[in-house]
Amino acid sequence: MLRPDTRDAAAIGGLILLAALASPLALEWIRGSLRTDPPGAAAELLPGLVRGLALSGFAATLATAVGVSLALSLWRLPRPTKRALWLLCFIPIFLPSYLHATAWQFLLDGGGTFGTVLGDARISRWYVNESWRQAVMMMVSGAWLLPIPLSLTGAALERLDYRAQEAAVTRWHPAIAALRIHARALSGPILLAWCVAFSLAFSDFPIPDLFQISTYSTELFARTSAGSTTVGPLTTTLPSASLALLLILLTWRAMTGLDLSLADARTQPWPLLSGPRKWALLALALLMTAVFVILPLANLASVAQSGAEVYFAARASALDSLSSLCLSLTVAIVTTGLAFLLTSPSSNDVRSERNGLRYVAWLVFLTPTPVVGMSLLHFWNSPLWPEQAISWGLGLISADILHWLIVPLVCLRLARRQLPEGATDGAYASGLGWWKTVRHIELPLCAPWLWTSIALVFLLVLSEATLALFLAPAGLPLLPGRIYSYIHYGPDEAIAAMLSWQLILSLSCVALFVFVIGRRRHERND
Amino acid sequence: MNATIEGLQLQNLVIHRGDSLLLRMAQCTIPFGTVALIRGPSGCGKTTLLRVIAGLNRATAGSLRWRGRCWADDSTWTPPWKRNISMVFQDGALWSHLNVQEHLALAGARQSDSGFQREVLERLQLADLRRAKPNELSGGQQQRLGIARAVCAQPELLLLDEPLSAVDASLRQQVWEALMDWRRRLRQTVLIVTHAPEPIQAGLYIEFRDRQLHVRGDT
Repeated sequence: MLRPDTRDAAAIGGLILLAALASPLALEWIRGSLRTDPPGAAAELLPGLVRGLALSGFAATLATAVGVSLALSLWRLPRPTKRALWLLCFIPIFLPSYLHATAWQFLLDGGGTFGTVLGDARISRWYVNESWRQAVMMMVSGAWLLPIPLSLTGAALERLDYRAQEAAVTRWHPAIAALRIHARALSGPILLAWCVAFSLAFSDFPIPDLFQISTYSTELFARTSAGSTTVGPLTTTLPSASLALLLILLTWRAMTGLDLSLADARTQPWPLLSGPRKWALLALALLMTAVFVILPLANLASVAQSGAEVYFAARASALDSLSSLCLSLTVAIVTTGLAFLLTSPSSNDVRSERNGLRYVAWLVFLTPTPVVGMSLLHFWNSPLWPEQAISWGLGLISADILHWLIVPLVCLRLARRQLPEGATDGAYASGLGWWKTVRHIELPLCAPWLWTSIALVFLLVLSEATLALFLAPAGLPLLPGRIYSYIHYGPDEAIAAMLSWQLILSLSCVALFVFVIGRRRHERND
Repeated sequence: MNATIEGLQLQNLVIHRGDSLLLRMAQCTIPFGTVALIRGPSGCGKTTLLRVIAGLNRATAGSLRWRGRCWADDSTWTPPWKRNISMVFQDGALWSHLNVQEHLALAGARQSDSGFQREVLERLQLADLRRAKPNELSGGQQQRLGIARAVCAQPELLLLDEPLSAVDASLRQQVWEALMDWRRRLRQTVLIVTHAPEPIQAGLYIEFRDRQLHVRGDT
């Protein structure tokens, strides 16, 4: 563990102070907003806030427990089998939360597959009443959070120093030694996974809305959609954000000394693409892609059978996919570039990091997406900006950049920590300027993490519905928004085609990414 | 005093590492073209002093001038890449993704003297390892690569931190002679931190003692 320095301590102290002050301040603001808002505004929001916190806490805990147990179980298997862990980390991220929710809704609804297998009476015993049933369905659909604890635990296990375990065995019983080493190595990632899962679940709008559960995000979304512009109720965000922020800070401190990476390509071979397994796994990826290519054809056939216009359905979904693709790529590249600059050491002090900005990114990430969207709308609607700003999609792009900046920040911070000792010092002391050092030394050494960051942000933005619904410019429907609307307001055959387009896009990009990285690694190893 | 022969001038320099004071000195001038040898017990701050001169670390107070130009004081700070220096690090500080030739090409980009690069490779016995990356080199070869990289940049001021500690004993004299030869040709000032038992002929000996610098001429 690194010793926390005074700068970190001051930043954490300031944020703790802010968190302590947040609740009384928020209460005051709520009281003020009650005077200006329609009666009952806070009364609607506060139960939603409490319900949202409880459900997110439960879903995050469940996902973390299952994810960590699964990762530890898979890790004990022989080497080729344990690579399944990495597949499990990546596959669920292709699917956005509302697709999980729809799948579970289909499975758990009376008459669904589970209903047939287990019997409706047995299922009905699980659900005391309708709201419990909805809550259970929402938690089960929290399975989309599983990749987070899986990937973080998997990465930590990958980096676990078993020599330390061997050394500890001489002093402790082997089982106790293993437990101590695992507890020490995994406590940080587990805490981090829980906090990230919690904030994702708390910010998520489509799942509670699909299951018609009133939570903070659905209430905010409903109020904003209804045209409410009062900022007062938004301040109820502060207590919850402060709570989560404190957890994040504690976790971050616990992780400071961990040499953890999601894809440490420099020191380790890519787990999926090393040795002879590479071709088998590439074949599997191609097969999966092929399956998803066949699906839309079948879906389009079903659209044709129903009498709908296949051409228009396909064209609309293709255009939406293209818009989403452009948006996702833009955000992925911009956020990664921004994070690269934000994590770069300043010229005055080679060792410094801009910690404050890291905390700002966490704070934005923890804020429910409707709040981010609403704030951005206010900002872009201000007289300072031209009226076309909204129609250019600037609100959506900036909200996405703000919201997902934390992902590349984490990746790039880990990348910086793993740069070879003195690589940049060597460059500066050889007369290389800032740009040459970035171009020839830092970028090549950080490349695996840059690709990882771009891919993750791309996938996250591609499947993010809340901001797409909130801020998509008129006349430019985006794929997640379109799919969500179809699911929510009236599913028809075109949904299947659209879902398939999204799956094709995601899988193709990931397959391409995996292929390119694999090739680069292969060349490097040669 | 004539700036061209003035060389490196350290004035009222105070250096800390964390909270502990490493150095507090009044004035020290290293004439241009001199070889200065810095000695002192382990952990006394020799490497930190070199890093401060290189611009990789900042001094707490004081000023640093090179041939009349101010590199660092309370209001001025020149970044390392504008100081025309090169440094050989104790741990190499090599670039793991580049091979030997690429190291030299990148460091010597300002000079574009490929003949000189070839000469450096040959005299440091790295010519056969052009395509090798740092992880394929032994400790001694890595250290010679660090020296080659620093020399190819053809700096005015060369900072060497334990440059021969891992070099094979049979090669040490040869590497040292090559370094001195290049110093004469390129008119370089050289600062060396070393624990090497062999006596090194230097124009100036700087001793770290009681957090002070004690300078004496050729002995």
